[in-house]
Amino acid sequence: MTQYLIGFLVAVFFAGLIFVLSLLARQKGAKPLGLRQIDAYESLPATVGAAVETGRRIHISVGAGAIGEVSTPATLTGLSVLDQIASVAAISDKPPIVTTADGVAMLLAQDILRGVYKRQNAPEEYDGLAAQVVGLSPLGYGAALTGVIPDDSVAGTVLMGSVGQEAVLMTEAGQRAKTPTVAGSDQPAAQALLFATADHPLVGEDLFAGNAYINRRPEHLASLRAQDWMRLLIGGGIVLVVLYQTAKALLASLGVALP
Amino acid sequence: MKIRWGNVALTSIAMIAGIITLFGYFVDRNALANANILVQGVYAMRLLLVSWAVLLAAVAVCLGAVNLGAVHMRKVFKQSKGWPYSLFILLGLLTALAAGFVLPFVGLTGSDPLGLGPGMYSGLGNPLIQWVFRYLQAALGTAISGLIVFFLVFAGFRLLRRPTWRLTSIVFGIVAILSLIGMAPFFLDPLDPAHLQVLGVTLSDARNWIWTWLSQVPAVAGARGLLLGIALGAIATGLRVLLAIDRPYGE
Repeated sequence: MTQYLIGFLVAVFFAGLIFVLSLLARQKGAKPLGLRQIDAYESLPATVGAAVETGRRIHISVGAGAIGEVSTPATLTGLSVLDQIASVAAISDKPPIVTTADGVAMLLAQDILRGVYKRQNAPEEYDGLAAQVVGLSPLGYGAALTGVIPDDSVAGTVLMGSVGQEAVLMTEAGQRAKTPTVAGSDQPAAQALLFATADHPLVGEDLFAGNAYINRRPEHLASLRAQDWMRLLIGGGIVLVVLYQTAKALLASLGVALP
Repeated sequence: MKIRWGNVALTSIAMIAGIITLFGYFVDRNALANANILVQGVYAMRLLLVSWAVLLAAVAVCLGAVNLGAVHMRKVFKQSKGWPYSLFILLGLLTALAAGFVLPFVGLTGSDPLGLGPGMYSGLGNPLIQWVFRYLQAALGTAISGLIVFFLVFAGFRLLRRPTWRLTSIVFGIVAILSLIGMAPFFLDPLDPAHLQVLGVTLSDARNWIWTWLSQVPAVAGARGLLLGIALGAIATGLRVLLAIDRPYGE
């Protein structure tokens, strides 16, 4: 029972922290929160700009993860970033192409692209097949991307979602086509691979900071700040427990028992 | 400011469904019988919502397959670059569909018309589906996994050839070389000169100590740090959707 209660309280505390920090950040005269430089996000405007100027398309991959599974947050982050990028890239001669391995993510991506064209008063430009399921398994997805990048005149790839080792197939295709790749995954093993193979890798939780870096909305910046506070709390807790256990073991050897 | 009631309704439904599902996960199933009616209700609602989600996800898989077929049919009809590959994909899709549909129909014609045994005409028991998975999908998947090793070696080499060396690249290179030495089958022979002791320590022991320390201290510490950050980022993303800060479900 206790672990359920602790989990519940942590979730409520974290949600409350995001909510309160968002309210504070939206107040008039609130000092804007600073962000450290992340190379991948710094390079995004140039990648998208190059696609628009050269009349080629930008490829946005939301990964091989599925909505409704553990990979949902990473996929949702990719979809949010898709909204931001598509708003800029939609004016290109060739519209952005979105790839996924999940039917639900494809439907959401289609909805987002439709909304982007609607906002730009060009609903007739929307292509229902711009959001594609290119493979239904992670390996099939990675293999299919090796064809998408050279065949669909892609000028750059933004991969933000849940991918495993198959991400290497995509980054390799990007290297061969000499197009830049911005890539981040929620899987540590894939992050290590992307660090070695992608032009602009996203490491650790950088993937989830995409919204804050791209649109700089106070709510997203506040969410980042809340994550930092939680990390400090958890890290501090781990250090305290280690110190306590060490002291307990040392004192025990001297014959003093701590609770 | 004009209120868009459609958006308000969508957001409210998403928030309520999300919050009920989240709270449902904090209900202890073993203590459910003694819980009050509100907790039992939340738990039951969570199960209902998750079962709806599973059903919708199954429909979405079908739509995904239709999308896959439509994309490649368009490529074939327009004869876009790489269209012959699309033709192969369409043939594969149709073959897999046929494998799944034909035998169940045969099974309907009699109790066991082909003598395959009961329950072998549909579902996972279908021998055609099993053949496709075993000899096509599994074989191709293994081949692609094997290719990844070569891509990784090239990528590592390319990383070390970058014109501007960063500290991370240098550390990566050193750790990669140490790991290769650490995992290589050297020094296994007790008569190997590496087992000669220098200051009471053999070369073999030193290699094992460095490799064990590298893989169990900095690597594990780094991985745990990454996992903690990823977990917090994932939770924050989920909470932003629950608080309607992010709305991926439409305009």
